[in-house]
Amino acid sequence: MNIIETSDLCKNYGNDVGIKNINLEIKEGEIFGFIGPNGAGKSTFIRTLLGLLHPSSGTAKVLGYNINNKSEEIRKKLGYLPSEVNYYDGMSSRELLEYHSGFYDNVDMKKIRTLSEIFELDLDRKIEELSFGNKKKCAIIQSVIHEPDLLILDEPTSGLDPLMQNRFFELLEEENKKGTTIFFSSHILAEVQRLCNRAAVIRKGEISAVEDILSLLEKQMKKARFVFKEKKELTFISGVQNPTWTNNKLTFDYIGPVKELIQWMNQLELQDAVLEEPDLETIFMNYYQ
Amino acid sequence: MIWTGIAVGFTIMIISLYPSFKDMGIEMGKAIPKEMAKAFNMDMSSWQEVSGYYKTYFGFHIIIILSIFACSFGASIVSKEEKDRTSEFLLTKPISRKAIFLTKVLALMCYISFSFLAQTMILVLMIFAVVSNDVNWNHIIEMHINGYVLCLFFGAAGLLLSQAVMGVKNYMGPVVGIVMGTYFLHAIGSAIDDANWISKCSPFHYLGVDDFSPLSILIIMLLALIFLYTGFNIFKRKDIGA
Repeated sequence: MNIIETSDLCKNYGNDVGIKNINLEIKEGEIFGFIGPNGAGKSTFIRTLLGLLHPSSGTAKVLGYNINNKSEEIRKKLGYLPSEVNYYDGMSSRELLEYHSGFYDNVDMKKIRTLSEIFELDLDRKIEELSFGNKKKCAIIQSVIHEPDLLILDEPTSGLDPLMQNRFFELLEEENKKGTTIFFSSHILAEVQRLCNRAAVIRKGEISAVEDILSLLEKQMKKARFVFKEKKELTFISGVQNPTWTNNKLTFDYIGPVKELIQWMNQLELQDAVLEEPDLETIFMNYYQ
Repeated sequence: MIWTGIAVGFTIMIISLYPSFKDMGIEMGKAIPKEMAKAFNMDMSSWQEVSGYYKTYFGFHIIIILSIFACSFGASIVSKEEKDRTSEFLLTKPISRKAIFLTKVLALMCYISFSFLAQTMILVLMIFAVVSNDVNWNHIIEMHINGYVLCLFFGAAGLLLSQAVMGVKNYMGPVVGIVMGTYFLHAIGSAIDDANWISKCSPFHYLGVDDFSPLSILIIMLLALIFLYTGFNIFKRKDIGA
């Protein structure tokens, strides 16, 4: 079953394009990454799914419901973590989480206490006294305590220190094991690489690619460094780019099947070889060129 | 609370002064030009009776204070959530925009009613405490019903203003402009016979301190409902946090 399904979804702001012809299918139980730089249209897409923005054209279904007329039904089963957290200043975190809980039937109040301990959040402090990171922790707890079927996270780790980021990823993995589908939007590619099964790359409001994380990595450039006894004449296989000799060391970029590269390596009398996996930053830049 | 406090304080002050002023009305009235007296409901000849004295201040000061409060509260009750960006928190909960809007309207009506009730109760207590002669309670009740309906009208107008005019950080300027503008339309129209039609463009004309007409109340309430309905339709279609 598709948890999110969009067809030619567009959102314009006057003459400016927010998102253009977005076609996505996200399956139940997936952790789906949504990668793009700032201003690419990530938040616009999310806000449209949530019913905060009205689509200019196209259709979208979330959890089987049409976003145009069943938005309320969608939000019953959805947890949302915004990139910027704006809460009611007069409330304490506890009051805010209790207020949030009032909108749902299935909130486990023990979970609030457990998560506040995990994330080291003082529930009795007023919202206006909290730092951005602590507000974010409150938002994380708020997004999961009603056991949503779908979690939509928009730049979720901004403001969290590495330790808290780690705890947050553990929480997400735990929620995913329980069956929660996760839509993870970020411009930090290492996060997507760590957590997601599949990812879409968005640029200027349009989807550039939708791939398995492994396919994204495999299809992309690898950096190779071969060490020979001495410099020699070689016949390069297709996919080798920018070969450069430095004494007996050859460095080059490779785009192509790994199998062919390994077969070629077997024919060479190598002293040493280093193949570097590209990080998502490189893949990301590849899609953008 | 501040606006209600000012209205209540003003009520206490003017009723406290009534024993000293009641016999001075006719003399004071002679010093004020007829047109000005007509424009601002200054019928000093009726000061012998407390409702005649009270209407002079109620019609100009108290009702303006409470109308500005109602209109500014109406303007901020929905737009504040958008300005503070807490609307994103609220609108991602399983609750419809209709329910949110209706709850806000209900809260607006409760606040206006509370303010009016507080001012009215203080007035009644002050009259019992200070006034020794007969009181025309009917007149007081009628002008208060008119005033209450005016406040509801301005509350609805403020709410519509906040939805129709985007990007305004502080609605106090437009709110004061609407309330004072419509009041002075009524005042100018009342003062100059040839310009009487101007007065008809103002809700103060239909809900004055002397005339009580259920039909006028109905029409103004209907207008307020139209304002609320229009405001809701804008809110329903609005992009939040765009």
